[in-house]
Amino acid sequence: MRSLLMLLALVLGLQATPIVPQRPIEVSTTPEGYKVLRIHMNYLNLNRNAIRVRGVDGRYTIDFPLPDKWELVRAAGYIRYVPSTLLMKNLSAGVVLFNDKVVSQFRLNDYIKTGIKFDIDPKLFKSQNKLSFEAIMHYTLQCEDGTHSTLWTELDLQNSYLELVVRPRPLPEMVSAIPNFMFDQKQYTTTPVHFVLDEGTDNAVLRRFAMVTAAIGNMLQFRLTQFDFSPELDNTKHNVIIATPEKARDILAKNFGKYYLTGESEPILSLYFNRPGCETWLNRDDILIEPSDRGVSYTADGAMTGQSLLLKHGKVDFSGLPVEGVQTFTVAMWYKPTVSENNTLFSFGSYALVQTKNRIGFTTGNGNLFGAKYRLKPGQWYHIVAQFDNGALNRCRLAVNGESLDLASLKGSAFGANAALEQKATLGGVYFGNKKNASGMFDQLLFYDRGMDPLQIRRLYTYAEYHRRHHMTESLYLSEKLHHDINVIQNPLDVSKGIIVISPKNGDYEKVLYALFKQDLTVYTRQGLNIDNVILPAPADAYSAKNFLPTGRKIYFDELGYSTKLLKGWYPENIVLNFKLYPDDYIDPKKRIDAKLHYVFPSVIREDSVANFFLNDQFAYQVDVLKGAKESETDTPMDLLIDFTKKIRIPSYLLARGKNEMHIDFSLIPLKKGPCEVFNTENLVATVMDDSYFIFPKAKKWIEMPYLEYVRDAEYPYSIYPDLQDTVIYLADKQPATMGAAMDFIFLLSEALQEYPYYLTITDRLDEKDKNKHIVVFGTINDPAIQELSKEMPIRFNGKSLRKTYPFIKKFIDEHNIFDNDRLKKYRYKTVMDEENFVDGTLIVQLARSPYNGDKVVQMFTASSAQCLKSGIESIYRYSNRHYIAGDLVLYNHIKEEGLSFNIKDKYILSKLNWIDTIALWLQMHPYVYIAATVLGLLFIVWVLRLFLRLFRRKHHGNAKS
Amino acid sequence: MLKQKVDRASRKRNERSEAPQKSEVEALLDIPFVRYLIWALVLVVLYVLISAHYSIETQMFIGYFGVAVVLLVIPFEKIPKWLELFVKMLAVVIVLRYLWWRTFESLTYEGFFDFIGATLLYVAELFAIAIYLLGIFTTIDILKREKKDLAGIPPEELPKVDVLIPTYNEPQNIIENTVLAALALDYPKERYTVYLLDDGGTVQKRNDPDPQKAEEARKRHESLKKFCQMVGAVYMTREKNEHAKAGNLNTALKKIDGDLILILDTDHIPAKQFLQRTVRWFIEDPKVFLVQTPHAFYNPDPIERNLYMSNTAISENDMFYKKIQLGNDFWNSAFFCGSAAVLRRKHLDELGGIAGETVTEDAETAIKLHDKGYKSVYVDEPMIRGLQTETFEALVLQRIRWTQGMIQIFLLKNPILSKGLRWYQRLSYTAASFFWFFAYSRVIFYIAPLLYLYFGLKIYNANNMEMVAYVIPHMLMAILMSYFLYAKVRNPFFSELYETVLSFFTLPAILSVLKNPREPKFKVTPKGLDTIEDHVSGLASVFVILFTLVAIGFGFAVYRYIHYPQETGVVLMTSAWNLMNFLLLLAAIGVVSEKHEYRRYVRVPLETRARIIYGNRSLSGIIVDISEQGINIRPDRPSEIIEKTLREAEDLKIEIADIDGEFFTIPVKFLRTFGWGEHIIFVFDDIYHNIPVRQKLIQLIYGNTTKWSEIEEKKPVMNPLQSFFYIVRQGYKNAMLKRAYATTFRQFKDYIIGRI
Repeated sequence: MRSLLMLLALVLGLQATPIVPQRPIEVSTTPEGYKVLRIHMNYLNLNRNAIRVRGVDGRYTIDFPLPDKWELVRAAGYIRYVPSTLLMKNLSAGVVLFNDKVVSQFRLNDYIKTGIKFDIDPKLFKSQNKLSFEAIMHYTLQCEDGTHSTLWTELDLQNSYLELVVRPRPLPEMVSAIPNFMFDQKQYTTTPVHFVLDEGTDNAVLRRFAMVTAAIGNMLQFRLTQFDFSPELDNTKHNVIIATPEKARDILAKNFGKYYLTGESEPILSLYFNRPGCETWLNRDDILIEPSDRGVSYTADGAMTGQSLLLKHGKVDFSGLPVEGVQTFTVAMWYKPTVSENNTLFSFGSYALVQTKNRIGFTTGNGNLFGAKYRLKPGQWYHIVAQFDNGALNRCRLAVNGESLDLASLKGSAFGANAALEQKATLGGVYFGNKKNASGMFDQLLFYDRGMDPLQIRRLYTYAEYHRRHHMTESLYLSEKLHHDINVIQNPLDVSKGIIVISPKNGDYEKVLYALFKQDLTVYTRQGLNIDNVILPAPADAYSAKNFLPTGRKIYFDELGYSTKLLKGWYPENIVLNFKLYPDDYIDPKKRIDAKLHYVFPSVIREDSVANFFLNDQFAYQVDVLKGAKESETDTPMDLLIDFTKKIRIPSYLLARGKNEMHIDFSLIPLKKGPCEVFNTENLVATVMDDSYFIFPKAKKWIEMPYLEYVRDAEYPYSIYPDLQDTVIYLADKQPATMGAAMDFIFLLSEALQEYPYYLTITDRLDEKDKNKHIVVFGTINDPAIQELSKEMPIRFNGKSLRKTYPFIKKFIDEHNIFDNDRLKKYRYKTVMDEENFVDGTLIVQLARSPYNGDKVVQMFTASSAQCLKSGIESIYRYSNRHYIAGDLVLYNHIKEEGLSFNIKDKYILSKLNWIDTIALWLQMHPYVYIAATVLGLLFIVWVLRLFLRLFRRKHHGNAKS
Repeated sequence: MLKQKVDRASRKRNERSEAPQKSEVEALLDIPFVRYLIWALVLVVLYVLISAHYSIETQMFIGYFGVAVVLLVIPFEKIPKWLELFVKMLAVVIVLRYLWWRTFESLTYEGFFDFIGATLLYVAELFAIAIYLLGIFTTIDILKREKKDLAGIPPEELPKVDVLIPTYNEPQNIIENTVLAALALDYPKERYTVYLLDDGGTVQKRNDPDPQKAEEARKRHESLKKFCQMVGAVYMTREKNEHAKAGNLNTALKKIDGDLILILDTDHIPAKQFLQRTVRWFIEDPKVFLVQTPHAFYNPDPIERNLYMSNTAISENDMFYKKIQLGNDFWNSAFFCGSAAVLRRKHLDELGGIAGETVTEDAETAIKLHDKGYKSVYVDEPMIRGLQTETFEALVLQRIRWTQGMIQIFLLKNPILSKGLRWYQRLSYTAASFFWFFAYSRVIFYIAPLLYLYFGLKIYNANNMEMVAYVIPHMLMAILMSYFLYAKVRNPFFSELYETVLSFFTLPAILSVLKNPREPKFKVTPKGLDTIEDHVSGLASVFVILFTLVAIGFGFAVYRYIHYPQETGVVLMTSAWNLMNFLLLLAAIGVVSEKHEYRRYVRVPLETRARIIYGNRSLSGIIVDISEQGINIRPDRPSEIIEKTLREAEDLKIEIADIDGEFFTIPVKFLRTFGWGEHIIFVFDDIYHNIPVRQKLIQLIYGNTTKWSEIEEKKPVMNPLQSFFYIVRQGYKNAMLKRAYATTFRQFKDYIIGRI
């Protein structure tokens, strides 16, 4: 039968259409290793693929923030557009503005779809940027109506983009780097986070990671990330270590070696010409006038930025270096030659690092001169690392700017043949005379009494480069970082990545984690990142999440993130207000949302100027902006300025449960004074004040459950208590991927709630207290714990196969209505699941009433494997895939990025209404039931009436006929 | 515990009455708490059903589901009681859902004048819905009482009946017929007396300052007195014409002493069995104060006549007398209609006679006696034939009196506030009295579309979807329910036509009563008038003006359709509404286009055998029809030469059977034949003083209830579409538009000249 149906479907051409996920942001890499971000202009709203700019000077603007962590190399853009055919070629033009600076102009002279490429000077970029497309359009030389329907140009947002070529900045070593550089709200791409979990998977430890996850969620806001666990650091991601300082050191040592952690690893000589104790040394780029008795002297005259040492055929001698018994040693320095002739950069005994015209080399103790062809150009900084060995050439190394050079014998003489390390050393010359003293600038001299491998040499350069650029004063050494409660460390292998080490000195993780969440730097002492004083939050009240709006009181526009805005032109940019309501806020659909719009505008606009209110893309109200305003304006009749507050009533049935978007479109039409008036568009301005407000009608608490949409859009029901005191995260197993999946979910909750889940429980064992909470469970389908909890779910697991609990009629309706593409897909999917029990690659998300407490829910994430579970969650929560999260069952294949949603189980009502309202509203949700109930209700009334009439007749008229 | 209570209650009830054994559920209802609980539950269910807010699609489904159910049920001649109730309740839910939507969602403030218009329309709709719901309540069950007669009761034990025929200015022959028919009632002669209560020959009238009027009154007095003496009736008159009909009756009541009183309007000719069918109810139940019977008429009313609908349209009275009064009777609220009713003297005496505070003394009397806990009975058998008003003006006058009287009752004797009435009686009387405000809503329904078309006032705020989901099902349901409830007693849309033609005249009357509830005075409905030639009534101008405005409204509709593209849906709906008004106004102009009609004597098709006796020969045939003046006979063997024979014949008589089947002869004169001898027409020869013959003739013509029923049952039942197009067609054919406009212009001119 099934085959027959399939065949029939194929004959009818009812193939399921594959959904091509949109990629609004594409990431690639240039040959130089820079990242290329191609950000399509619909990236903020994937559903809005095109927009029309209208009027004589229509404009459309898109925000493009630039994350602090990126250094912009170059930027370009491409805009694809279609102008109206009827525009006058000579008088119509397109303008691209970036932060209100013109970056491109072109004529709108073609009616086919076309595009314009433009470059943007990186200097124009700020933290927040605006790219505007403005179309100047005219259709006639004669009398022109600025609002004429001809005047339009369509922007193809989906195929227009901004392309940013960026390279990462190193992570600054400040606590604020956590939100700004690591978890930046402005970033476009996913920021994966790695949790280093070395000491077992105790629930309390997991909870700490959950808290960090929540803190990150709070920092990121609307940007995604992913979490995973392992005992090792992952150098490609930001890492988080939560451990005692000792344990944290061990972890770091395990990953980076002891070099970075102990005194042994420090150089025996380090000259940072700005460090305390080196005040007598010169600032970088200071000019040395003449040698002092000690070989150096300095002056601050002509100082430029930074600090360094300039030698003019001078030198600096050192003595007392602790080099006894040392076989191999390493010197690293920044050097900027002022001449290209021979220079001695550093020497001790017969060992010397020298520069010739085309080469750089060093002498060894045995009198050999080795080096490589490398021309040091005057006036340019070079980072030079030289490793000397008194035994073998093959243990000598020479690196410039982190790159090792191939060494070969050089012609020329060395300084003697006695290969002994001296305790005296000289920078810029030899110890025993002024021969070949250096001319150039030096900085960051490091002298190590040991050798290094090429990787370590590379790290030296990386650090040095970073320090040179940022004039850092902090220590380079990880060991110094772990003295504080919260430590933010650059990853030495990728300085754009950070390692957050949370190691409270007094072991009070809760306070430290809460402080991390709060991101309030006043709680830190500046010297370290020690937590000073934190008051932990009290349990939250129900329905107190801050990003959900209350009903029954005024909500000012500024509470919705709106700030007073200037509107300009015929069709000014619209005002968009996003807000959330608790999904169980039942607002009587018959009631109206009262609002007041406070605006100022000149009275030169025409009577038909309007503001249209759209609620969730439905037209909601129209304000005739002038109507009633002029009459009310008695104070300033002369200056033609109208400051008016207008009452607005928006039908509340347009409100969605959860997320809502209100946008207000203005149309400002100038007064028409003559038959061929040339309008001054500067007249067309208005200001909408942020003290405008809404009042949502007082809501009653009522909701039909379960719907995953509510979780998706409003984190409901977990958002009732935003500190998650009413929610338990239940892990059926503690595989790293399962834990990561749970963290991903906690992140999403916190990111959306913007609250600290201080009372969240994460556990692998449900106790009685937990059973009275909402349960979010993660695990594989074969797990007995999952099987136990799946009893009330649409799909039940028994360890071997899946069992669906379809009501017969629903199944029949679902499965027989095959002449519908979606239906067919569902049918096929379910059939496959039913008959082949094939769930590989499929994430199953289910929501059902909790078997333990009827007011609570169980949300279950399951898959055939923990990895599949995690990948599925990460994929389905991408913005382009989130729409699959709906109904009470989601089957989602993360490989194909295809999903199906179902409403299978019977719905139930959670409410705090009186029982009459409950019945009435429940019936509203079930039209068929309502109709049946109408008939039944009528039959009941008929029955009562008949009974009553019969009794009445008998009483008053005996047995008279009717 | 409950069971015991129920059993106890049940036992108690059973002991108290001899009613059949009750079911347990019925017995349960004897416990007040249970009863209240069930009613509360009904109210809750009803509340939920009407208030549940729904998607527009679901609302649409429910609306059209109701329409479909009614459409499915209508074709069946007889349906189970539960299904009938189901349909009625479905209609209630749909109309209340509409009202809910209308109240909470469609009323918006769009501007001051829009608000005024919207409020007026909303109130008009509220009224219409209230009447609709009260109508459903009134007729939710009807009572068809068994026929009773006086068999088995010795004549001497029968109550003494006084037959009162109040008269004022009616022509004498009308009075005579009624008196003669009253004298021929099937009731022991010694147990009843016929009184002619003449208010046209009072001392006051006879001494009128106008000598001509005084002379006429004196003549009338003498003539009627003489007639009464001749036939055996009692002539009564009084000093002064005080308190109109009620005063006339009350004056008579002081002089007579019968147990029961039969009141007959002057033109109401009773059938022989009237007292047989009515008196027994008084004997059996001492609490009965009234037995009312239907009013039936032998001539068409002006609307039927002017639109030539008398043979095809169901009489306007039928809805009330064949349906509503039966429902009223069920609720023990059948009320006195002024005539064709028997009242118990004793109960009337408690009131001090017929009530006279309002101009509808009949309903007022009934409400007072119901208030005292007495019962009324409605016998659903037309046993009188009356004369309808002959002219439109007379009709308007009559309806203004009814309107004012019922509104007086609503204001002065408000049934809702009446202490003695039961709740159902209050509702029934409210339905009866409140209905008469219809003029307000009818006038608003005519003006409302014009307010939009002419001035663009937004008085009805609904989008196209809401129109389809709420408005259209509500309107369809209202039309279909009217058909469902009243199909056999009122042609669809006839109510609209009657209300249309009356509203513009009764509305000022309503306003005057509202201003001064005690002001209206009884005005006698003129009857027995002739319409000598075709003419347009002087009341036509209001329809002509409105018709013109409505017609121009279409021009505005076109303008709005073109210039307000966003309002095309509203324009179309309003235009449809305006079109309906246009067509009804056309019919209204037809109604006011009076057609000539000499008051001919009514002819009844008897279809019984008769024998024409001339000399010693006779000729048998079938009576085609018979009137007070003559007879039309179709001979068994038609012959062209019979005319000559009959014309020359002497002592020509017709032998026919009277209403009881006994033969009697009437002297006649041959008039003519037609159809080659197939019809022979005779006129009766000097039978004025032959009282028995006259009585038999009157009984044959007016008291022949079986024959009249047959005639009425032949009238077709029209469905709403047929009925609507029928009205439109008759209106179109009979409206004398040209003359109507001429009359209006003339009146306008006269008015202007008068002003100058």
